Amino acid sequence: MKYLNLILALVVVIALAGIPAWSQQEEVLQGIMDLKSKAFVQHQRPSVRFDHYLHETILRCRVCHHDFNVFNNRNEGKGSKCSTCHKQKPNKDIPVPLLTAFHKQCKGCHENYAKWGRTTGPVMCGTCHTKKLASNDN
Amino acid sequence: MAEPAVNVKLIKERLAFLKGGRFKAWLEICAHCAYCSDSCFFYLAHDKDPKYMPAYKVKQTLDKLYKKKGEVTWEELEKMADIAYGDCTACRRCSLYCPFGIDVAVMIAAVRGILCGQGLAPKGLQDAAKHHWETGNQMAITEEDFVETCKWMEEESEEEMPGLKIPIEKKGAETLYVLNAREVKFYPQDIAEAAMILYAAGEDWTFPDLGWDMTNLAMFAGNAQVMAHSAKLVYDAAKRLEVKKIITSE
Amino acid sequence: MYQFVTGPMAWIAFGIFFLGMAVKVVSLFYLTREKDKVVFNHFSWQWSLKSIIRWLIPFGSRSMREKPLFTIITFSFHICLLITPIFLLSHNIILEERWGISLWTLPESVSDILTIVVIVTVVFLALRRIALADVRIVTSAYDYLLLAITAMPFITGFLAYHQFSNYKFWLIFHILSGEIMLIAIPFTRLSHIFLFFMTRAHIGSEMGQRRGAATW
Ligand code: HEM
Ligand code: HEM
Ligand code: SF4
Ligand code: SF4
Repeated sequence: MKYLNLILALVVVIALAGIPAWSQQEEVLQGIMDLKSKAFVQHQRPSVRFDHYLHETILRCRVCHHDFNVFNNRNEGKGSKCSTCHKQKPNKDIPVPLLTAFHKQCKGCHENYAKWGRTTGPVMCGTCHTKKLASNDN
Repeated sequence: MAEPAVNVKLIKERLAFLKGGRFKAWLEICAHCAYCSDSCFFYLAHDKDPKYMPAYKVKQTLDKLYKKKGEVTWEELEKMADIAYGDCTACRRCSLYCPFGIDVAVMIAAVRGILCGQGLAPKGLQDAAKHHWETGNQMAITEEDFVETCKWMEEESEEEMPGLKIPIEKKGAETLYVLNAREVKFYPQDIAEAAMILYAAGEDWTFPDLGWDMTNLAMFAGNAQVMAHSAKLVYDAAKRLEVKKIITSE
Repeated sequence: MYQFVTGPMAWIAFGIFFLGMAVKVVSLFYLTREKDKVVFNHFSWQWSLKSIIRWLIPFGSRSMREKPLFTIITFSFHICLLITPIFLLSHNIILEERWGISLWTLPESVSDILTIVVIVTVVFLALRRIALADVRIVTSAYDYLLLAITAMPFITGFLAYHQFSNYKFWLIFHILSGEIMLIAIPFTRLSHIFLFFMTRAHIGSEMGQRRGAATW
C-alpha cells in the first residue's frame, strides 16, 4: 500500500509530461511534408520530414522557391517543387542536380545559420534522413 | 668474471651513421605480417620455431638498438651476437618474400658491424680478420711460404704436365688467379690442379705475391675496415699487374 | 561540434596528412641520396615498376601464393579500405559542399557491404596475430593500436550510417576517428601507403638491375 501513492504520483508525472509532447506533435504535424521526390526512382536513404509550416513562419517564400527568370520574376506560381527544374542529371540550363539542390537548400542554409551563431536545423546526414520516423512509409 | 663495459658512445655513433633512408623506412614500415617466415631456411630447419623468422631477428637486434638509443647491456649485446652471427647467414632470401622488400640481411650485417666494434664477433672470424689485416691473407701465411708452396706444386705436376709453370707477380698477364688461403695451407694440390687447367687452356695467367687471398671473412665479422682492406688487396694486385680479368677459385 | 570537426579540424587533418607525407617522402629521398648512395647506382625504372606492379596484383608474387588465405584477406582489406571512403556518397556530398569537387559514388548498399568487409578482415587480421606463432612473436600492442586506428572510422561510420542508438555521437566520433587516422598516417607505419612504392622500387632494382633476379 505504501507504494500505491508513489505509483500514482509517477503516473501523474508521466501524464503531465506527455500531454505537451503529444499536443506539440499534433500541432507541428500540420505543416509537415514528406520529401519523397518521385524523380529519385528509388530512395537510398529514408525520406526527409520537412516542416514547411515552421519555415514559412521565418523565411520568405522566395528564399527557397527561387525559380526566377532573367527579369527577376517568378516563372511559375506558388508551390513549384525543386524537381520541377532540377533533374537527377544536370544539364546546361540547370547545372545543379536534384540531390545537390536539396542538400544545398536545406543543409547549406542550416550551416550558414550555424556559422552566424543562430539557432538552426539539422546538418548531419542522419538527423534529416531519420530511420525511425520514416520507416513506416518508406 | 666481470662483464666487459659496453662502449655506448661507439654504438650511438654507428647507429647515427647507419641511419639512412633505407633503415629508416624499413624499420618503420615492417608490418610484422610474417610473409617472410617461410623464406628463411633457419626457420624451416627448426620446425618453424618462430624465433627464427626474419623480422623477429631484426626486432631483437637493430630495432632494439635504435629503440634503446644504443644504451644496451652487455648481456643484451651477447644475445644480439647469437642472433646476428648464429641465426642468420645474411643470404637475403627473405627480402624477396617481403611485400615491402625489406632487406633483413643488410640490417643484420649492420648489427654485426656494431657488435664487431664491441669485440663480439666470433673468435674465428676476428682472428681471420686480424691475419688478413696483418699478412694479407686470413691464415697468416707468409709470402715465403706461399712462393714455396707454389714451387713445390710446380715440381709435383712436372711429371704429369711437363713445362707447367706457376707464375707469380707476372706483370702484363691476361688473367689474375686468386684463391682461398685455406687451399694454400691445407689443400695445396688444389693449386696444382688449377694450374693444370689454366695451362691446358693456354691461359696467360699469374698469381700476385700479395692479394692472392680472395676470401673476406672480415665481411662476415662485420669489420668494415678490414673488409675494405681485403678487397682492396686483390683490386690493387689486378691494377699493379695490369691484368684483364680475375679468376677466383671455389 | 559538427561544425568544428568538419571545418577547421578537417582542414588540419588533411593538411597534416598531405604535408606530413610530402615532407616524409622528400626527406627520405634526400637522406637516401646522402647516406645510401648504393640505392641509386643500380636504380632502374623498369625493374622498379615490375617489382611494384607484381606486388599490387593479387597472387602476383610467389610469397603471396604461398599464403593464399592471408593474401585474399589482406587484399580484400586494402581494396575496400581504399575504395570505400573515396567513393562514399556521404563523403562526396560533403566534399561537393565544401570544396565543390565530387567523384563518382558507390551505391550506399554497396559501400555498406565494403565497410563490413573491412571490419571483418580487420578482425581476421587481429585473430591471425594471436593464432599464428610466427606472427605473434613480432606482434606488440602497437600493431593492435594501428589496426584499431584503421578500423575505427569503419566501425563508427557503420554505426552512424545505421543510426545506431546515439546517432550524433557516432557521427562526431566517426569524423574524429577518421581524422585521427589521417593524422596518424605520416607518423606511423601507416606511411607504408607511400613508402611501399619507394622500398619496392629499391629492392626491385637492387635484385633486378644488379643481379637480374626477380623479387616476386
Ligand atoms: C574528415 C573526415 C571525415 C568526415 C567528415 C566523414 C563523414 C562521414 C559521414 C557524414 C558519413 C555518413 C554517416 C551517415 O550515413 O550518417 C560517413 C560514413 C562513413 N565514413 Fe566517413 N568521414 C570522414 C573520414 C573518414 C575516413 C578517413 C574513413 C576511412 C578510412 C571513413 C570511412 C567511412 C565509412 C566506412 C562510412 C560508413 C559507410 C557505411 O557503412 O555505409 N570516413 N563519413
Ligand atoms: C597503395 C596502398 C597500400 C599498399 C600497397 C599497402 C600494402 C600493405 C602491405 C604489403 C602490408 C603488409 C602485409 C599485409 O597485411 O598485407 C600492409 C599492412 C597494413 N596496411 Fe597497407 N597498404 C596500402 C594502403 C593502406 C592504407 C590506406 C591503410 C590505412 C590507413 C593501410 C593499413 C594497413 C594496416 C593497418 C596494415 C597491417 C595489417 C596487420 O596488422 O596485419 N594500408 N599494407
Ligand atoms: S615480410 Fe617484410 S613486412 Fe612482413 S614481417 Fe617480414 S620483414 Fe616485416
Ligand atoms: S637473410 Fe637471414 S633471415 Fe633472411 S632468409 Fe637469409 S638467413 Fe633467413
